[in-house]
Amino acid sequence: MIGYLLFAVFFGLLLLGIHRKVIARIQRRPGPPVWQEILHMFKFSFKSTWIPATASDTLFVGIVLVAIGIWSAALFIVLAGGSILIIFGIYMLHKIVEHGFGLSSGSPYGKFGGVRSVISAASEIPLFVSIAVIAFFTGSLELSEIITYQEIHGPLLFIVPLSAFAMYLVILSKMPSGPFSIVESKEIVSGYKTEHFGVWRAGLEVSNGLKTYVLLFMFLAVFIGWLPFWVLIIGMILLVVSLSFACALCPMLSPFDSVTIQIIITGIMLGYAAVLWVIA
Amino acid sequence: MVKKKHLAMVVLALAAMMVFGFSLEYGGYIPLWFYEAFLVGSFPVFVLCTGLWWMAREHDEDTPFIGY
Repeated sequence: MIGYLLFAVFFGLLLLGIHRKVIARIQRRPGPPVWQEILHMFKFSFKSTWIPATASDTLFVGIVLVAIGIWSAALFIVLAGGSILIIFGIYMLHKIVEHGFGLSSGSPYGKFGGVRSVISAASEIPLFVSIAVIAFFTGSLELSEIITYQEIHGPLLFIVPLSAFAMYLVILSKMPSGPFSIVESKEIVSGYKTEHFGVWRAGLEVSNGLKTYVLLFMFLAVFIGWLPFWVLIIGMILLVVSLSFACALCPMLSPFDSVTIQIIITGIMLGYAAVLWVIA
Repeated sequence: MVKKKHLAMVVLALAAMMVFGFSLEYGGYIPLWFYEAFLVGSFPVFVLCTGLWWMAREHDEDTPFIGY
């Protein structure tokens, strides 16, 4: 289990490296090597580190522990075929983590990032509609039962494609350099993680690797079903490449536009859920 | 900042406990959920303590792994 945890960290970081490389190639730049995010983690962990004078010491360090802990828990829940409601509860906790990162530092840039994290909670609403549609069809929120349903009826990707699209957008909102990545946009330096440098940032990188792995794994398990290990790995790479295309070709939206589009998507999803309800 | 020696002791103790926990779980002496709960608590501390033990101290050179 500890081996799988370490694998998820490194492979998640590799996926983020592939993400950066694909974006760079689309923009006709050479880009960093695909293992750049792994190197980043090691680099940050070696940097001389302290706690800024303006920071709240306990929260500043504690929030890094929480970030790694919640995504480790999410990984174990996915592997056990547990409830997707718990996993997306953890996804919501990540909002609090981002907020905590920003507010604990005492930096105005971090605070702006934390506040934007709260604003971007609009991206979670399509997620809940998506989950409701899945529960409506499969009659369960247990990942293991959703997978069993797909073995009998085929992938949910073809049964409820709009629901898959909504969850795809939710994952897109969590990818770096995406159209909805307002919490890390350049006008607020690095957003909520601006003041978390050195070892603290290395911890955040570990958490990001786990988060990427868990979210992509979840998407494939929920909408395609349980896949053999190597197929899962290839599926994750293909998924991240498609997300990279979306990130490279769409400009980063302003916070207002980002929230507006996510609310429109939520409206469409609610209409879709209503139509499914009426048809059934 | 905590001394390197103390951090090294925490890192080694946690690594030993994680490996020992794995062998206990593998042998069926403890349930999987218990080992996973232990990992959720100990892995983040292990990551941060490893970094704090390994990091360059003040005035040391600290720019390896640039990658480019």
